[in-house]
Amino acid sequence: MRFLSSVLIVLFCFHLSGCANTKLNANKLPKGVVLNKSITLPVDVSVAYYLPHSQLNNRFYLEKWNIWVDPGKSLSDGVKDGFGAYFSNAKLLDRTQANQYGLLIDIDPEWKFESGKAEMIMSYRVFNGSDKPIREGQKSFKTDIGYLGDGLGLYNASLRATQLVIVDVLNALTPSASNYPAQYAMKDVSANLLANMKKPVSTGTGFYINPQGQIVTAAHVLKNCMVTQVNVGDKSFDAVVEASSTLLDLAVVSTGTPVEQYLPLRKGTEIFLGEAITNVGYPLQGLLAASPNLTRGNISSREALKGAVGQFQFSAPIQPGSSGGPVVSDGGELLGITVSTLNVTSLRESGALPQNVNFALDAKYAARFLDKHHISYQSVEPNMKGDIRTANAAALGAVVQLNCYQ
Amino acid sequence: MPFMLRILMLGLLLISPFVKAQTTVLPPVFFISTIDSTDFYNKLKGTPLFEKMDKENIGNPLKLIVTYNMEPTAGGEAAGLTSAILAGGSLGLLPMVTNNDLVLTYEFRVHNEVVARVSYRENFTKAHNMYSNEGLYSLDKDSLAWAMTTTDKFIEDIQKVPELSHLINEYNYYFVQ
Repeated sequence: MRFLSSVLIVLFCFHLSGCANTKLNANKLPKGVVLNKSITLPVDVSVAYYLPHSQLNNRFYLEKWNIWVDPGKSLSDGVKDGFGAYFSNAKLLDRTQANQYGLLIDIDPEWKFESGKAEMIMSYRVFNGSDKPIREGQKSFKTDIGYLGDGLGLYNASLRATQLVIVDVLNALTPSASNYPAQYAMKDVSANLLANMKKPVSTGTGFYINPQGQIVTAAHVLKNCMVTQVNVGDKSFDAVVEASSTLLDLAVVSTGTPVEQYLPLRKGTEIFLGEAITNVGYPLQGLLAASPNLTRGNISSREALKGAVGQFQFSAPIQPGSSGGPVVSDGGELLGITVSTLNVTSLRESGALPQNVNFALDAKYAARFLDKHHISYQSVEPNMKGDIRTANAAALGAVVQLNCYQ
Repeated sequence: MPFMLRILMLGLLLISPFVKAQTTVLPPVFFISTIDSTDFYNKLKGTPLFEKMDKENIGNPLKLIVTYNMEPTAGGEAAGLTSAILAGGSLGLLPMVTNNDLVLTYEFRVHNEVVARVSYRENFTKAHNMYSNEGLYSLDKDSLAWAMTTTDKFIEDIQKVPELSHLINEYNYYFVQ
């Protein structure tokens, strides 16, 4: 009886300790997965692997638990360790570097969470210098999430999924430095080849600022995009970033296509508290139809959040995707550029329900930015006799949709 | 005239030790941290670089985020598992022993874009009672004392980041009249 109770206690302890995740060994493959015997490790082919920035930077804060959850780091570490265990030379693709590779593996990762489990699904394509993949497929692995703060569950899922991808590539292609020599430079990899052009990772709004067709938008709309496309009606153009400021959250892109309609700035860039404004954007793409959304409101405050600089507050409703859109006066002048909104989630928990608290960069700072980068724009005398029709025509005629692909 | 010049040079020589060395001062910075310690905050704010830092100005585009996490070590996992079994088997009479790397990360962000990120790491072995409510991942006195020592290194490291002077110049161009 005493022996039985001791065994039960030990089993109970094992059960408790099993709740915690342990870091899996990158050199050990999952059960039932085997490498061809002809493959000698580590494989000497030079590999460059690509992971989208949106996934690598995936990080959020759980306020109730006072922890940061970092799926991006878990993914990055899991993939790095996976490749490091099987290849003597594997690097994350950096298109600013001239490093050479023999095989390029484009990985499109996706997380799925359900019932305490984390599943990493990796779609992948393998290239060797040409535009056509020589191998493609999808692998996934599911593990217990465990304690979120240490990210071990997410790391293990990433590592195992990476191992499955690697084993498939190694078994199918049997690569080596001789049959896939390192002769392609990372900097020459086409952004269009890697970017998943089926679906944008984010969308935003921009507007023409001069007849040369240069477009002003919020810098965060373009953040880490491999390809940015400007949609005008049913046409799409690849955009080239000409100037950008993270501090102002402002950028200018160009498509090289001249235009007739663009937004002028108000001379003196003065704004009047309470004046009516029009905001136009392309919010909630994928949910709403791809036509511009126009909302009306007022300048609520000359300043924004406590400590914010260069911004004012306005009340016209905005949604995700409205960023970079113009805030236009009834006279048809540009007053500001939509950059952010008040995060109501945390305030709602405290019992407050703020309404229509949105922020725009004051056009005064946009003018200084354009001057600094020698980008032309037009300033007009304040038109105090305009109305909603003037504002609508000016805003709708100049606004464009921006799609970010990674 | 040469006499006047000599007097002027002598004067400059005499006052030179009293001229304060030029120090880098960042524009206002919003501070967020998972480390619940006023001493830690005050130590950072006491440096010239972060003298304009505060915890109130939530809309500030410049943010310093300090976080920590515990990373288990290979040996620590095995020892932790054994000690957890022993602690459970003894119904809590024996302590649980853990061995983790405490990783402290400083992130300097502009509009949520990371400009600089530095991490410091230190190994800690601790004994916990199963029934104590201190939490396996909270910072105790020793860990906090070590965290305080990282501030000097961080100040030294962040000043080497080339983007920092560019950022200060840009901030002054737009917002300092």
